[in-house]
This record gives sequence, C-alpha cells and structure tokens, in this order.
Amino acid sequence: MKKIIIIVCIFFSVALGQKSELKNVKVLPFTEKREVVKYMKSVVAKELGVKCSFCHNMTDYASDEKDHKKVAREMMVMTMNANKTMKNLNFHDISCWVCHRGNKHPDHPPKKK
Amino acid sequence: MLLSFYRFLLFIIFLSSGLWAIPRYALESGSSCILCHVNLSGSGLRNDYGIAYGLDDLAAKVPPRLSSYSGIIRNHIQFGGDIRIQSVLRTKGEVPNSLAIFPMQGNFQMKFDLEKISALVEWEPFQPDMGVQMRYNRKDNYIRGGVSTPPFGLRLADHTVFTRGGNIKLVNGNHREGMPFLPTLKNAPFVELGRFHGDAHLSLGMTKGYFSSISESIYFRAEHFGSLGIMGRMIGVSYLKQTHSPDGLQMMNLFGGLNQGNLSWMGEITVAENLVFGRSIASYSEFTWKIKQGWNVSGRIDFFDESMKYTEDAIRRTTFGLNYVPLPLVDIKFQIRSSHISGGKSPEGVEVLSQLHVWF
Repeated sequence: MKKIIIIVCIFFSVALGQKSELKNVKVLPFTEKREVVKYMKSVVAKELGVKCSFCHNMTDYASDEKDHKKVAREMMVMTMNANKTMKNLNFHDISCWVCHRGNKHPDHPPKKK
Repeated sequence: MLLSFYRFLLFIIFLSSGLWAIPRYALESGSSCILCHVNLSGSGLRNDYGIAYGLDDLAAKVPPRLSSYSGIIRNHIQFGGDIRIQSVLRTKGEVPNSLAIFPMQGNFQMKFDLEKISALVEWEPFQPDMGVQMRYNRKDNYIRGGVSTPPFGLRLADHTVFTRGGNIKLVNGNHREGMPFLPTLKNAPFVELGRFHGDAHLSLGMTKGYFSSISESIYFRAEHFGSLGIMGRMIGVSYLKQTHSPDGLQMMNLFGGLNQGNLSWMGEITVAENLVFGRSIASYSEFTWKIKQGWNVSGRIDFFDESMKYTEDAIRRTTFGLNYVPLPLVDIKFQIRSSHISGGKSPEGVEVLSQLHVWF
C-alpha cells in the first residue's frame, strides 16, 4: 500500500509539477519562476552586492512588506525606460551596475568645497 | 557469517533518518537554509529559489525536459521528497563484512500556503514517522509549532557524523558513538519563535518527548552569514537543555564555515554534559573543493570523545569523498573512511561508502 502511495505521489509531482504561476511579479518580463530567480541571483544581487533578505521577506518572497522591494521595483521600471532610449540610440542595454557598482547605494560625486 | 550480515541489514533498514541538511549550500549561497528550503531549519522540500539553485548551480548538465521543473502542483500546494540509498563495504574487519545496501533517508513532504500561514506535512515511510508543522509569518518574525525535530547545530545530512549520532551499531567498545541525534528518534511536539534579522536567523523553542518519552527540552539557535575579507563566512551557536531533570542532558554547539570561490570549509563542535559520563565532545570538520559544476571532492575529520574523564575511548575518523551531481535531482557520493581509536584497537581496513540521493 505504501509503495502505491509513493508511486502515485511521485507520478503526480512529476506530471503536475510543471505548473508554476508567478505571484506578485509586476514589472519583470519573465513567465517562469526559474527565470526570475536566475535574474535576481545573477543580476540584481551581484550588481547591488546584496542578498535576497535585503529586499525580500525570507518566509514569503512574493510579499511587498519590505520597502526595499518597492524601491527596487521602481528602479527596474526606471532601467527599463532608460533601455528604451538606449535602444533608440542603438546603444547597449544598461543594468543596475551602471550606477550601483556592486553597492547598495550608488556613490555620489564629492561635494564642492 | 551470512546470518550476521542479514541481521546487520535488517537492523539498519529501520534506521533510515528523516530530514537533515547540506549546510555547505547555505554557506556557498551566503544565506540561511530558508533561502532554498520550505522548512526554516533547512532540508527537505525546496522553494522556488531552491529548485532553481538545484537546476542552475548544482548539476553538471540540465536536460531540457527538466529545465522548467518547479515542483508546484497548484498555486498553494507543493509536493516533494528526498530518498537516500547508501551502500557500505568494509575491506577488512567484522561489521559489515560484505556489501550492505540500505535506505539512509526517505521522506516526502507537502506544503500548503494560506496567506500568512503555511503548513508542512512530512512522511518518513522507512522510519516510519510523520511530522507536521504550522507556521505563522509576520514580517521577519514567525511562530511555528507541530511535531518535528529540534534544530541544533549544522544538521548534517549524514547521521553517522559524530556531531549527530554516529554509527548505530557500536563496533569500537564505547557506550555510544556520537551525540544523541540518532535516526531512531521520532519527531516530537515543539513550539518555536524565530526571527530573520538581516543576515541572521534566531530561533528559540521547546520540545517535549524527543530524546525519550519523559524528555522536555528548551533550545536556542542563532546563525549569521557575512564576509571575512574576500571570503564568505557563516557562524552560529546552538544550545539545548533538558529541563525535566536537574541531571538532564545539556549541549552547547558552535558551528561555522568559510567559502572562497570553489573552496569551502565547514565545521562544528558540540560539548555535551550528562550524555554518558560527565562531559562528552564531538567535532566535525570538512574541506570541499568544487572542481567544476557538478563535481566536488572533500576531506573530512570527525572526532568523538564520549567522556573527557578517560583518554582511551576517543574516536577519530577520516573520510575522503567524491560528490557528483550528474543531473538536477540526482546526487551521487563515493567515500572512503578509516577510524582510529585512541589507546585502543583501531578497526582494521577502511569502509567504502556510496550513496545515491534523489530528490524532487
């Protein structure tokens, strides 16, 4: 009986395990969770020098409880808009790195004395 | 001889353990276990990040058929499982004197989400045992309760590590061969408060009936991930005390790790009072080199002294291993290990271990 339950469970997991709906993804153009995770890990986290917990509630990644996440979303809109201009000019895309350079907050020019 | 071998097989078949973790991945990711796992203490069912990590960062090759695997059944339900099958071959000596193959771990888990409450149900068919935990999240804080295993130390996936429980069948003449986290222990009722604070995770809880039917324990665990110069580092402490008796077990644990590029080191040390006679100590230290994605080699030293009053009962075990992840959801390990007893007769030969770990 137990073997049957295991086999049934494995079957359902493999057969139905392909369905993955994105939750609370409002700006990013991805359709799969894996794409979102890959983008966050390889672009956002690296270019800002942060870990997931900087923006996300670790017990609920989709939650907007943290202000940093809301700011990050606006920053992404800003970058996407900038990239429309870059495309019109036939320039390369930009990303967080252009300003952040691996820091949470971009450096500002030194104040004039 | 054949009969003793079958007895040995039968003995360990019922000792496959439940949920335990591979904290090296947490160290390499620079974040707590919850980055990849549904269970806050790590191990078992993976979340979106964990599934993507398994596909993109662990396996040597990702077949297109698996590249969109998510493990999600419906929006609020997820199902997954871990199965580990291990074989042990001793080149010389008594136990085992031939090839023994047994299920080392088997568990299936299902997660249900409903707003800020999530429930995790686990079934361990080889033990057999059931576990369930409900968690209420509020911002970075949570409260959870149910029937499970108390989190302590690194929670390594190998139950023969001395900081967990060591070998169940004692072959070196000691009273025990490790700390009390034996795979024979069943999940027990617990309640826990916790908080994620930046890169730290703190938890405080109590459990009843875990080590024995009358056992009552309180526990505390804290871990922090950060950097040390160019290296990633993890450091943590655990404390557990049995409160039902003044002579109850009391354990303190310090764990940590360093990671730089493809190299990582992880270790922990546990000091226990009233485990056997007086003070006992167990330690674990492992160095891993990621040759390339999917291929890792490691060297490990375990140490256990069941009573620091006596000097001739300490065990040191040295292990070398290869870890190959050919595909997502499949993990293969080969290990060679030898043991040395201080002042006593060390076991002859070496143990050759191989392990197949499949998860989904």
